[in-house]
Amino acid sequence: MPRCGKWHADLTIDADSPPVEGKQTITIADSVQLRGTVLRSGSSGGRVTVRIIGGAGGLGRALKAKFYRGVTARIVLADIAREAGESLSPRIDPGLLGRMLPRWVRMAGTASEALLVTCEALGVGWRIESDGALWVGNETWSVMDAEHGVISSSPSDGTHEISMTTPALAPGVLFRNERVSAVEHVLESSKIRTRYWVER
Amino acid sequence: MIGDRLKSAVEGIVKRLVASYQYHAPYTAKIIAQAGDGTLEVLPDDPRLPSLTGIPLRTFVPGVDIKVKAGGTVLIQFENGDPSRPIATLFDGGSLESLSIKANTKIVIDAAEVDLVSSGGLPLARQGDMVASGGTTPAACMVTFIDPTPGPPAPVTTKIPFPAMIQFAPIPLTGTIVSGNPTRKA
Repeated sequence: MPRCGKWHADLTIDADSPPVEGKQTITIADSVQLRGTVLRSGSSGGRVTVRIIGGAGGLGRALKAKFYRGVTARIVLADIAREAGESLSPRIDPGLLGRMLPRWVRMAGTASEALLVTCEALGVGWRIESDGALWVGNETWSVMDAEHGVISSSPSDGTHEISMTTPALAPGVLFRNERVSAVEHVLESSKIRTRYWVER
Repeated sequence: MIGDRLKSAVEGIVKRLVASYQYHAPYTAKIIAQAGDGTLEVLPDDPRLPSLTGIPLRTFVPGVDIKVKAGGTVLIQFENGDPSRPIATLFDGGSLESLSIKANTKIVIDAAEVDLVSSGGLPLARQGDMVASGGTTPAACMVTFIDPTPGPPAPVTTKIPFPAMIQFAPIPLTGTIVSGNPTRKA
């Protein structure tokens, strides 16, 4: 789960499960839900492996060039999301969405290119959140407290490995006085190991 | 082994990262129309750009008002590479309809020669320049002398009245332009 970009989940499931495709919701420990779309799946060695990416997986779609006059940032972002089949997060700062753009030129290209250009011009970042919605904005670095045990730390890499009861840690928060940049949860049997990278 | 899939993935990452640099290049565009406020409606030649309206025309100097013709060419650029600040600059020589220059204090055009027409022009006259009038051709006229005193006609020997021809020799008249508009100088 990166702080900027879309998360993905690599799953290994029983071979006799029905085919996994389209939109899926991953529920972990009845408390964490991740909504995404199957990117690839296949069977090997009696098992099925599946890669699910956050959201609708539409940021690679080609968008046509578009010109706007006298619109808010909401219109520009909503168009990118809608045309890519994604949905805007309700947690985006209304002040950001209400920013007026006297003119705006969207060049033809992929939705992710348009999104990057727009975010760069607005001075904000973006990511697909766990609920599959597209969030745009600046981090608030809210403090997160969660029960955990430290497995290992590498200050030179800026990485830590911890054990948690639920995979609740996500990027964009302040955890153990450090800004979390990216998170990887590994679930095996009933154990959850979390590795996270901190901002430099 | 590096294959197409990996190269495509790297390409995709690089393209996304440099997408904003596309806004630092100039793009040619055809002028569709010019609005009353001087802004342009243009159709870029590059299909990656949409047609644009209300685009400000940046001239070479402040105070210059330019009217352009439809069908001419401009360059579309983005100030500071900002997608929200498209402008039109430069254009080919055939697209100028009219040009006006306004200044708060003064406009100075200083050169050994200033031509207001491309050919066939005549020199301008200024305050202090010479004016010639009166013509160059001698004037001819008939003058009749009549005795103004009343009474019987004079003896035949006086031969009055009698017609006479007076020929004028040309005397050119010259002068000087004595006034002009103090705010317009050449």
